[in-house]
Amino acid sequence: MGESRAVLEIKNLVKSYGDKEVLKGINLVAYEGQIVGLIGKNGIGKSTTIDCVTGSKNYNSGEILINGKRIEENPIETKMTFGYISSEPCLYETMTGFEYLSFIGSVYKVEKTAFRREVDELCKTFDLTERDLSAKIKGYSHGMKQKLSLIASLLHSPSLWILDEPTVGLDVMVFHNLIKRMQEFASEGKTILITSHNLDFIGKVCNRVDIIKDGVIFKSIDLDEEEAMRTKLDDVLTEIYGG
Amino acid sequence: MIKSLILKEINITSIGSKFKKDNLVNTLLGLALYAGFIAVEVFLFNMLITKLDAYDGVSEAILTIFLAIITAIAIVVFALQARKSVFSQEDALIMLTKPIKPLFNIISKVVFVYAKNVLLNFCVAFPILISFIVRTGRPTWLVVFALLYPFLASMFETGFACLLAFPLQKAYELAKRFGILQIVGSLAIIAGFCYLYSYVLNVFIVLVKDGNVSTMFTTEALETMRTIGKFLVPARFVVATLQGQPLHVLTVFAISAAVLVAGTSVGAVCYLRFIRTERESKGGKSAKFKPVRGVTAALVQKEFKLIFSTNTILYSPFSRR
Repeated sequence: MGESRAVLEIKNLVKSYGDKEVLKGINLVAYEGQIVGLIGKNGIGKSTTIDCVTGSKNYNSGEILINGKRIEENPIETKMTFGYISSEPCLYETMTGFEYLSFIGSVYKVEKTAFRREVDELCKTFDLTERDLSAKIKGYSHGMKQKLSLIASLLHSPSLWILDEPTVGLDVMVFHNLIKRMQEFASEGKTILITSHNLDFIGKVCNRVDIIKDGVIFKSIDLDEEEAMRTKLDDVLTEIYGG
Repeated sequence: MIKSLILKEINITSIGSKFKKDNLVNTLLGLALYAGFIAVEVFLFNMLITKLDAYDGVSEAILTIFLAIITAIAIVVFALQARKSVFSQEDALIMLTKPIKPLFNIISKVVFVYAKNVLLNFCVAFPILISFIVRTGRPTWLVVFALLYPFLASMFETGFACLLAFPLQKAYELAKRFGILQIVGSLAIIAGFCYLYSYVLNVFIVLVKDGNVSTMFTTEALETMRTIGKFLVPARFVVATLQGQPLHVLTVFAISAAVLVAGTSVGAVCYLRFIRTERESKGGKSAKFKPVRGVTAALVQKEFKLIFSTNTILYSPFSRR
């Protein structure tokens, strides 16, 4: 990525749970305008890597930089620049959708007119009505919670979008809208880091795919250069993991 | 930022929704129950002061004990709420990835608990103080102190509640692991409440029937009350203020502020430890597979496991649905 600036840099990331070393030196760089997929089998460390980047887990050693700033030294500044959704939607169940989005808007200091505009536009994109937003989140289906999480993650127009299994529970129309939104996001020069087991989806949207094995990035495939690989990712994984 | 976080705490506890149309009947019934409780409390207090008026210093001792009981109840109630709020996994998971300083989050929780505490004290302690001032013919300016009291007492109660939140969390985790502790704890608490209820009810019945409380409140008992009252802090300084020693209000403020600062600091340290360590899954020992004989045995075993891991399950046989 010649002239593009590195938005996310992970250098020699090591993370253990007790005696078990899960990440043994992850190195990953995501540039402006790039959609990077992080794939691998269950329990290999994809979500752990994401959790370390977003600050929800400590790590043993290594460095994580977002827009050139270390997350440990500038936690508030770096967290302002990314939007994140986790594999299991984590929301305040006793709030309504509106209350939750208002809270997120306040946290990210989104200006009132921009907030209203973004909510209206994102609700249309991800198909959540005003009636849905007026109901308590505990009454939402998994798919509705996922949609609300997607909306909340984009309210503050982040420059980095981190998605951990975003497609689970989404209906087919919202799924297509998500793909479209991701492509628009990247075309604006912004960056996406995504994990998913849906390899067709990953092959369709990503510019590059990094495969984790044995705690490191085992293989990196530039899908813009090797277009044929977009439909062969499951074969690649089968070969790597010997399935 | 703290304003948004306090609003978050209000929305999480759904206080606003209690006043919506759907919940109005329940809320009004709840308010009526609270009002009834306060009426009984003030009645008890007034009757005790009136009946025991002949004994020197007893009304002050009764006030001290009433305020101390209210303080103790408030500390326990808000310690339980503080535990739930500070050590909320859901809140920690959401807050960790947001651009919010953990210190602001804990401050918002303390402020919210404090505000609820002030409201409680206005409802429960303030009427007692006004009753005392009126019944004992104290100067009217002491009403100003009575208005200040909920704010001062709440500082003390909130601070203590924050101090107790971490030990309560450890006790809660222990009880979750060992079901027998839940049974023993619940039985002990129920037994305690039953005893207290019977005692208070006896006093109430005696007061309503003939008002002769001398059999319950002997000279020795009253002397014990006076002695115990000297050690009940900050209630004894509150009573001293009402007895015309206004400088004691500074003592009350100093003690309450110190406890609040200590409680908030300890709460903040525990919270910071919690949000960093609680989410690390340590990877448990591999579970031993225990084959269960028969469907009935498996179902019974499942019910026992669910009862001790999910507190709503305990009451599910009594629900209508």
